[in-house]
Amino acid sequence: MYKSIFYKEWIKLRRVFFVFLVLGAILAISAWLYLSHVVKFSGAVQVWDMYLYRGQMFYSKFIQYFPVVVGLLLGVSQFVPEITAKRIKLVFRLPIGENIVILTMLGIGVLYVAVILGVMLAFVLLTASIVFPYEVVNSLFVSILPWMMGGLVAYFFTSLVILEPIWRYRICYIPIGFGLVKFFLYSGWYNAYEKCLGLLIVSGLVLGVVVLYSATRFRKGVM
Amino acid sequence: MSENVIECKNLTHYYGDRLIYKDLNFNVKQGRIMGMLGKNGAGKSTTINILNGFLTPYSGDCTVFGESAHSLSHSTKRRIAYLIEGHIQYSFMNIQQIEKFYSGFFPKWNRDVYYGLMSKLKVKANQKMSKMSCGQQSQVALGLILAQDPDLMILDDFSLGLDPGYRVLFMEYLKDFAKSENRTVFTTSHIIQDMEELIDDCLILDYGGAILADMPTGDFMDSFHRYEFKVVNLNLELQCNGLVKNFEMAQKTARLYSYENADAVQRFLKSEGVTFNEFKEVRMTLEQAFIGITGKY
Repeated sequence: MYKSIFYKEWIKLRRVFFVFLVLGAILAISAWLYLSHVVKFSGAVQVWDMYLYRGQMFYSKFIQYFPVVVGLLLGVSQFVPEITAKRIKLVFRLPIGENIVILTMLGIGVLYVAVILGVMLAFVLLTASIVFPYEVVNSLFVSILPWMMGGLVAYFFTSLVILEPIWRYRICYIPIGFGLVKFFLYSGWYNAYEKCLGLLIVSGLVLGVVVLYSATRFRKGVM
Repeated sequence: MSENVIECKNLTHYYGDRLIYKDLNFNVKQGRIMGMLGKNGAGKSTTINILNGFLTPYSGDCTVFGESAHSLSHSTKRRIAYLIEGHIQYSFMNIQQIEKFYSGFFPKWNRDVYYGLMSKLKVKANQKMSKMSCGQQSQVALGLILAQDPDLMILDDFSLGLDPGYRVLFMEYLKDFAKSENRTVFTTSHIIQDMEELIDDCLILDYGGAILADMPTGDFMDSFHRYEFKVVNLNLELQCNGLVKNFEMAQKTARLYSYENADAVQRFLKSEGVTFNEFKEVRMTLEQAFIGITGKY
């Protein structure tokens, strides 16, 4: 049964998955090329000056908002076909628990978002490790991770809004989701979220359960 | 005596302040095809949604195979096939993908039945459902529910969007399915002409409730009559009551619908002082009987 659900989600998401996978890799490589360009023509001092004295994130203009775009569009690609013509009724009629099936679909969505962002993160860290020492690469990882979590939160809120059967609830969720996602993207400074990284990861994942609220209301025909 | 596969007791539902029906009671017996007839907005889709657990009724209970329609067990869900209005399926899949998807959920899955039906369609195996005609999509939806090998089919307006050829084909398969191994079908359709060919029992809904609950269609057609007669008074009006179920005038001809026999109706007309002649009973189709009992508007 789970294999079947995975199969359906794969058919739905494979195109958008591959597009973002390639796009993420391109962005990471572009950042690396830009970094190389700066090192070559302005010298490494320029880069170290940005890191040590100005604390500015070198990668922010390349990848800060990419995870949110991934989360948003993956959520749209996954759940809009389900609510079109109330097609999600087909899923709720399957011999599997309604919450289980929604959680499985969300789990698959999270997996895709994680793979896309994970590949991009790996490219970023691998290329950065050519230029920077371990300490800077680690600091880069800690700084970029909240953006990735922002992508997951964007995915959960997009799913929540799409599955919600009542428009006025949807409209209420949008600013809440926007505010929460913004919180994950607030700083482009190194190690800005270091002290609360664990809390951010846990709270980001817990938000996934909230989607069940909309899904259950959809199933019960709340109008 | 057959057991009831579906039992609905005292079902009441509102949308906001608007009453859909009050205290609706009906049963669907095993091995029977029941058709639910009603005008637009009378509550057909509401009932289907309640039966499938997609809507919580204001009050009352609905059970399917003895389990509450809101909380069907997985094993019971495997026994029920559901056709959504408009033959909605996963239009982003092709016929092979959709078969592969559903086969993972149903242990009795019969892919030969599905592919037997698909071989009659002039579609490529990799053609997406969204690129098929409405009739072809209906055959895919039918193939999927037949392959599931269910004990009960719930069909929400199966004839919607189908041309006559596909409608007839759909009904032929449906009849064969229902008559083999004592299976049960609960269906709605806006084309009552189709239902006449198909259903054993009927449930007729009007605004506010049922006017006819789970009666064999043959019994209904035998007991409900349409009488026509000529009248002098062209402005004649008769109120609906125990005897008169509906009355309408067409030029000089009056039409009266009733469960009573011709003698009783003629006695009634005389007692009301109605002058009439050329009194006769006219045989009706199910569609005419439906309009007769619910009215045109």
